Amino acid sequence: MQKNLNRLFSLLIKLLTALSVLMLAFVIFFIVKEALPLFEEVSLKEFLFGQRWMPIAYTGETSFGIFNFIMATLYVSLIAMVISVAVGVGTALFLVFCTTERVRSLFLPAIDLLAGIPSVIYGFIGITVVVKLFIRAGVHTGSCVLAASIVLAVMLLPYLVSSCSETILKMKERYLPAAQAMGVSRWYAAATLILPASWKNILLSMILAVGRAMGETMAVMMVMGNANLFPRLLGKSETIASVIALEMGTAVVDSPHYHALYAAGMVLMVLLFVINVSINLIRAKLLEQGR
Amino acid sequence: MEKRMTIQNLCAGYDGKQVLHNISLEIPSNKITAIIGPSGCGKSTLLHCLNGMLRQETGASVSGEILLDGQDTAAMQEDQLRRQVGLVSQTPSPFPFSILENMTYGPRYYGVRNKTQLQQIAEEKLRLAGLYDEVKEQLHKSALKLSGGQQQRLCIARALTAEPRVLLLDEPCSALDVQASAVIEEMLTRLKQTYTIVIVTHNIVQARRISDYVAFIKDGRLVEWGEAACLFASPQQEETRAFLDGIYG
Ligand SMILES: Nc1ncnc2c1ncn2[C@@H]1O[C@H](COP(=O)(O)OP(=O)(O)OP(=O)(O)O)[C@@H](O)[C@H]1O
Ligand SMILES: [Mg+2]
Repeated sequence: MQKNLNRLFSLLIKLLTALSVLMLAFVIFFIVKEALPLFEEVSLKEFLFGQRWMPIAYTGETSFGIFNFIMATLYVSLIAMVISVAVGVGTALFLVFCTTERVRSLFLPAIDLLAGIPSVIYGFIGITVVVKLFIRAGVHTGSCVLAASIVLAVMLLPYLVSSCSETILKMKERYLPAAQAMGVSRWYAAATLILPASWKNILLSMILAVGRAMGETMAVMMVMGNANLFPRLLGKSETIASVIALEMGTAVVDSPHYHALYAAGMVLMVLLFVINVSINLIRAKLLEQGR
Repeated sequence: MEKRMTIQNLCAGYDGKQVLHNISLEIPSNKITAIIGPSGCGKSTLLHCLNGMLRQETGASVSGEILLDGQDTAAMQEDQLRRQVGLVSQTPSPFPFSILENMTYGPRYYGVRNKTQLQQIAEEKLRLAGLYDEVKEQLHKSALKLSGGQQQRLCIARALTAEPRVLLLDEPCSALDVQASAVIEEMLTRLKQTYTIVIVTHNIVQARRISDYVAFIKDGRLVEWGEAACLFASPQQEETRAFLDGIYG
């Protein structure tokens, strides 16, 4: 009886695993299937490196080049990551080294709460606060890549702060007493011992954050201006996710436009995959060195 | 007998709960002083008082006097005191760097920049800890890949790079087998020519083998201390006798 129950249970687990793998495979298959017809009309090179996006032939010819969108996606994510990793690690250091256990147990759950705010709200605050500030600073319409990066960075912060504090706290408890026993000062130990020791785990948190950054649509769309331009810090631009979200509703099914949007989604998927794999490789390399 | 440290009327506690009661003790220089006593009696706390660590801990209170070569440690600068009185804690904690970087971490902080000089310090201290011959081929290997006993000796060697006058060891052999312990004991008897050593140990047999002086602490009170040979042969206090008998079975 017990044995049968065990067998049934393991079968159930296997079935569920198979189901989720199957679902993922189906999503990928579906996207690829819907994307491929586009390449009967445009070459892959034209699609990836073309800068003209004219999906409907109002005047002249259609053209599908997503180079600017790709660059904008990478650019916004990169700047957002730089900002939020810098601020996140700094905040974590502050929480671990300058506050007591009690303050931390109050602060960290509060920071975790920020993660639950819907992205529309972040976008809304982005428009009413960040964009306004940029207008006041003299940027033409206020909407720009930097504004989007800042909003995105704030969205990534809760996760980065909580995971970095956890890592840094662990490393501090493990190594600080030994360093202090040699007469080394707290902050020297923090910079040369505890941060380097935490670096691997911080990289891992960054992988998860990058995924969120590149896929985030709503908030970015609301503050970035959405114009097909090569991304510049204070200029408007548009990410792949925004293009898909903005145009999918109006694209005629089975038109080249429709297939092009699927192809753009596929490119986004590949980008994310490549980035995750390469960060993982770097991390594995660091682990191997045992640092 | 020349004294390196003098402890007078030391009381210490955490969060209002007193752990050490009125301890007065002398640490002779270039000798090994063993501190023995039942678990939780305050041995680690005593070590943390000696290198000033407890004074910094939140909620901890320390009173009484601790002199290092006649100088009041409470008046000394904290990092200076820590360099003079090194501590190797109960669990070895090699830094997640290479062996060489572990050994040069302290000296680089103290201002040594010269590469060959750093290398020299590392080699000298590793030799003192009896580890050099085992690792000389692999100084760039991660310290985390060493065995437990090697890690413990690395931590001792690392503590020596601060050029301390006193070396405090908190149960350095608690996680080691007989052979690895023997290596460390042999090393400590060698080290006492240069350093004054205070060792906390659960192992009475070990204390008997290596120590010159012994202090027995129970429930935070110093029951008895003196030359090891005398104390082990004829303890003056009933409690000491009971403790030693209990251990011997
Ligand atoms: N950080 C701390 N905060 C509060 N109380 C503490 C702290 N560290 C130790 N104590 C208390 O002080 C007493 C003595 O602890 P200590 O670590 O000095 O014992 P020990 O003799 O080293 O024991 P062991 O042989 O098991 O290591 C214990 O009752 C312990 O509960
Ligand atoms: Mg202890």
